[in-house]
Amino acid sequence: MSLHLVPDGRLALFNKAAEAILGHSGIDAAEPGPHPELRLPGGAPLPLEQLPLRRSLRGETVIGAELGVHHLSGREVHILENSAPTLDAEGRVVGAVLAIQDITPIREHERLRDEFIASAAHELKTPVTTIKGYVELLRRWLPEEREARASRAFQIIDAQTMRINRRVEEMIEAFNFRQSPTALNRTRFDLSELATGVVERMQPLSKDCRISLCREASVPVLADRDRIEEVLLGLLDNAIARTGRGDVEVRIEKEGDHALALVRDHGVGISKERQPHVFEPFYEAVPPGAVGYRGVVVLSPYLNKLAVEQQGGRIWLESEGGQGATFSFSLPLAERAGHGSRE
Amino acid sequence: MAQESKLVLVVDDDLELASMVELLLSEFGFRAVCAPNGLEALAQVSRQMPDIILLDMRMPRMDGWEFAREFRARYDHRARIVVLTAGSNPKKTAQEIGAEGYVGKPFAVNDLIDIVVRL
Repeated sequence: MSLHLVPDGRLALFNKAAEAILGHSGIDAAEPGPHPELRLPGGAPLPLEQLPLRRSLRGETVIGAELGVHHLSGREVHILENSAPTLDAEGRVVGAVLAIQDITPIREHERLRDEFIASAAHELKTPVTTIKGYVELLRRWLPEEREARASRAFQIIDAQTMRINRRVEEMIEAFNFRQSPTALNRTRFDLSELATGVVERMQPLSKDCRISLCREASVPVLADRDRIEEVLLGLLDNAIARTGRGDVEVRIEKEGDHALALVRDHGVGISKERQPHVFEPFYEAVPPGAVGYRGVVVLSPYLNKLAVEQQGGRIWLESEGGQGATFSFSLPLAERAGHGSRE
Repeated sequence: MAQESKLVLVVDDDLELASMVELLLSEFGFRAVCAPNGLEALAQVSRQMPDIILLDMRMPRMDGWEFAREFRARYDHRARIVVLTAGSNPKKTAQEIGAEGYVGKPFAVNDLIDIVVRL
């Protein structure tokens, strides 16, 4: 469907498809104040100046802006908007065109999927609790002379149970984040010192893998320490799994006005075809059967991306075939972000 | 009161989990009884007042929220309530129902025993 505006905001064309999606016969982009029928994802009113058509009247091309529309029938409609200015021969803006796509069925499908996953994840917590409890009971009930032999078995059951639990937590966290991003507890801390702690914790758990840490003395950031610790733990855990036997390198440094954290493994690398999808939910970077394959419910790279981007940073992957993979993320340095206090 | 004599009522509709918790508590020297929902927990309480109630929240017939309301109305704080939930925010749930403690599922055995000892 399409709309066509002239520079003073009056509509020149509003086709039938637009009327069907929006539930009325025209939005006057010249109308002052927040438009009552348009909202940003999350429900906040859309300020008029952010309206894609308005932005295009100022010369901007807008691709893929998502808005919520309160349809006159009472239902909420999710729309995707693309808009562009129309120019005269001298390049002056003489109007704007807007193409709208109704993506309500896609968002509804995602909502049902998320709800199903969250509810399934909650269901899994109860049997995990029971298994963990009985492992502890068996430990206590077994005679001491047999305990040593059984100890390895218990360790494996424990570790595998916790692995299920981690996946469950990730599924719930992803669902909660999509519903409403969690509030950040930003404090000033030293990323180098945090990385040292993370490496010290992970080294005893990865016998076949040597973790080396190369760090600048002080890399102060203003971020949510717990969430960044989770990101580092997740990156390191995956790097160890992909490496199997060998070295994993962690590097913490300053680069311009950003802190940079880098985790390099020496596994088989991640293929070019898979790289663009690595940070998507449920996407496994490593094919089934390869070293480091973590199963089908893979959410930690997606959650890492959400956590880093929510704090003004960026996360990315570099990998050449057979040369291992390097996951890096950046965060604004505390000096740039201001000093210290909690937000 | 000596901690060995503490009586714990485990309220959970998952019977396998409830019996596991009961066994764990016995292993650590506590007495424990189980109830599969809020209604039966109230009946149990009327027969014998526990020291601590480990309370699941989502249960058929009478859930944890309704049980906590009823229990406080009838018996005030004669037993401490500890929320035992798979829900995403056990601390918030505990605050909502005025519980003295909370343990998220799955829990580390030490965490569960610590809270029973402490309260």
